[in-house]
Amino acid sequence: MYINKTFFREMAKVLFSALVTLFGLLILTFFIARLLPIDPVLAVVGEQASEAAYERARQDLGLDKSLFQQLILYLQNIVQGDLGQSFLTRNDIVDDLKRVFPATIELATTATIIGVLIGVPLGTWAAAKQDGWPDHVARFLGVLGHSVPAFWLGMIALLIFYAKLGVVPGPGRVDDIYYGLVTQQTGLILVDSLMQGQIEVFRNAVSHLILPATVLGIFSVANISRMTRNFVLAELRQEYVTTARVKGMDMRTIIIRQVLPNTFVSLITVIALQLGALLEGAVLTETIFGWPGLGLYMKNSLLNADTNAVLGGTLLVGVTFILLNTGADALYRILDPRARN
Amino acid sequence: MNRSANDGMNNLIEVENLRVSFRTRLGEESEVLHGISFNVGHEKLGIVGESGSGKSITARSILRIMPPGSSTTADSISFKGRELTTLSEKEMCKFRGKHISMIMQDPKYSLNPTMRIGDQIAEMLRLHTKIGKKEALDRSLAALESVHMRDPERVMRAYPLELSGGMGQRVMIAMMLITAPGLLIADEPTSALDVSVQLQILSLLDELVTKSNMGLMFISHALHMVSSFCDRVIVMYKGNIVETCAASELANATHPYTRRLLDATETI
Amino acid sequence: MNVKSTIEWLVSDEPQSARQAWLGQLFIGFRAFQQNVLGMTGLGIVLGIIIIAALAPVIAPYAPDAQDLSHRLEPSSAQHWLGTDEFGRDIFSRIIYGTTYTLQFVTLVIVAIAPIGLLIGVTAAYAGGVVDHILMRITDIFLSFPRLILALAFVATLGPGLGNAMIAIVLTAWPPYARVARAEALRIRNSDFISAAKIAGAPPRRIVLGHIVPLCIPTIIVRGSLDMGSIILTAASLGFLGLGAQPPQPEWGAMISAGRQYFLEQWWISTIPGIAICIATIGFNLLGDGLRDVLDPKYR
Repeated sequence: MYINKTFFREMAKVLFSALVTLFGLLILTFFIARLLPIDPVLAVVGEQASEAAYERARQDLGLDKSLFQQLILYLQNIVQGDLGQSFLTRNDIVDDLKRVFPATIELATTATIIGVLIGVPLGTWAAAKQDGWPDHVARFLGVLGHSVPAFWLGMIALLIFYAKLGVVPGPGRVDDIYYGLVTQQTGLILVDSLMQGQIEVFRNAVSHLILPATVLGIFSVANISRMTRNFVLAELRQEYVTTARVKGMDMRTIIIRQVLPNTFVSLITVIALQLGALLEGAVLTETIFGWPGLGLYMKNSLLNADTNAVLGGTLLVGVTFILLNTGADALYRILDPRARN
Repeated sequence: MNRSANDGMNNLIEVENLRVSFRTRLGEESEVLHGISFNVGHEKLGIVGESGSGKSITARSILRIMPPGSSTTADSISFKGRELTTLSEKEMCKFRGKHISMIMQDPKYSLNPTMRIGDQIAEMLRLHTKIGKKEALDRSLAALESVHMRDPERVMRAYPLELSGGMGQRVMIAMMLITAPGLLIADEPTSALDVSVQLQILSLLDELVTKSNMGLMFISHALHMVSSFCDRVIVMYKGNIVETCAASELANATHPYTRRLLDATETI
Repeated sequence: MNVKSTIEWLVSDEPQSARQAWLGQLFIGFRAFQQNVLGMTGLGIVLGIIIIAALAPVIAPYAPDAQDLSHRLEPSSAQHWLGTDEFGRDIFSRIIYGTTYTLQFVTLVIVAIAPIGLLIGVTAAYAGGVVDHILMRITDIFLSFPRLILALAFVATLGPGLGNAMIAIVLTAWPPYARVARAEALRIRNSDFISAAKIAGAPPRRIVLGHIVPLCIPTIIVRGSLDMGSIILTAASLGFLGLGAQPPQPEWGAMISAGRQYFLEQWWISTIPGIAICIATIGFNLLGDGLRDVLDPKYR
């Protein structure tokens, strides 16, 4: 690790850049909200409201003020953790998001872990034996990952493994009989059930998680193996690989001991981005698997024109994305001696 | 010491009819080395030629570290009487670095950027000898001292990017000579360095090669450097050897390409 | 000139004119593309889809919205090759007509995005300084969302529908184009012949439009062809979520969504449009990869 003055300056830069992007994100969501062709006041008070009630609601929402003042108000609210109310659930959107987001995190993280465990070895192997069968498998998966709609693959998987073979349970995070047995602590049901010693619930939750996580995991494997392959190939062209060969090291050892470690730092960025991209995939597949996460929440909000809730979800995904990127960027600077020069 | 070019007994490596070709983008084979034969004894042999003449390819095809998409054939490549062309890749791995090693142009790229210097040198030793990590590191430190590295303890812990070009090349030399190979190939070892540092590296190479009585294949595009540094010179042009002579007799060379090189050098 | 000498002229190492060099590059690229089996497969699939779309009324045995309630939810048969859906509409015909939606969508989106990205990227590169900084910052902000999520936010405010879905995708998909256009323009801006044009007194507008923009176009084409598959997927996703094409339009994503409630029994209603989406995206992706291999020197 290289903690010195330059390091802190670099870190400050990374952080500042993240804050600027975050600020831009807020402004962007604000303006998307203002694109709204429907009257947000009417949505609150209803069609039959009196003139006075309409005007009061208009002032409550701050819509009588200038656009700039509205923006300030919007930012103030967000800083105080207020994203407004959902028209659909009548809850504070922040509370709704707190409830649904852990389910999505659980799904996306599991899928990413599958992606790393299979994708990294596959990609490495594909690079080492170009045009060998692992290379073809990686390429095929790559094409699949970029060509198959995630929601459709989810449906097919459900048809085969749930309806026809009956090897996995149906929709949801746990069977109905286990519902409510575990109180929400982290929100991650696998963690909560273990912490509370509910092994039965844990087992059931795993069986529910397997299929959706595998479907998303395929996309994750596709992407991670392709990137790993590219990184390893790029490293193999470096002169230090020639040096290692001159030293008398065989290719296998070179790849494991010298090349792979040098790709880890770039891989961290890819994995972070992949986790973010899976949030998108989750929006599509959660509907299929009845997974009560952010995706299902956003879809229901969308279909009921609950714009605030959709924008709240959008903001959450954006912030998660920025955090993942910033984290990866910071890790890169901490771990890689090359980043210092 | 008399270092005769044709004294077969003293030859370290003998190469006969070495050919290398690459596949082009249109899928045709394109030969870049047209069947060259030469040998290297316990001497400093210079190989000169412009870029693309096949100097580096000669070195790399002997070590069998050519990139994929190339094909190499030779009637014979023998080192101290041992035929290399028939060795398996596994046997070749044990051979490389132990008997022939190579330093390259730019230490900035030829050292692994994320490994500490000490570990990189020790790794070389541990590939070819059965010794513990501690002992390997101790001997690596000694190797750094033998190449007159200043502050070797600090360099052991440093990463390549923290070193200057000259220091990096000293590390490469220390690493490549730690197994006491019979032949060292130096592929443009000074062209990425400052002029003042170039001379230091050359005199270091001279000192170490003479001391251990090993062979040196010194590849360079700079004829004047080769002629003053080496015992014997091979001139290559478009994949062929066009001239072989003692460095002292280079002035009497007859091949038109060598003459052109000489003329170009004189005008500088 | 016979064929052999023409080829030699084309692949000459020492071209005599810029035109010869350019044609030579094109020829080598074409030959390379021809040898790229996957790229040619992609081209074949895309051409096939275009032909099917053009001849849809001829090929399709039924009208896409012709209902026949006495033949609902039927599996494959001689009358209905791929079965019928919940309104007794012929799935095969709807898939055939679906190609026109997909092609229109992807074409319109690309035609709208490319100039936007080109304009922003080239402006940033040529203006430099603060303008560059601000434009790239905006680009980064857009890139900090997964594309579909941002598109969802736009659709949420614009309202569902095919047109709005297109606008939403255009609004979210331009940043990568701006990035590559900027990188390419920066490279070109610093080249000698631009300096020469500047010294010769060419006005900035002429330099940008006459020299820089044309040279950025191949990069944008590569980027666009690589993107088409993902645009089709995004369009299908929006259709699936009920935010893009609306029933009874025979758009593949919407068709999958409509078949969902019958899926466990009449699986073909949703499965077949999904296969159609896969084939189309695979075709565009393979074509894109092939074009990139040929046009982008970094991948040679």
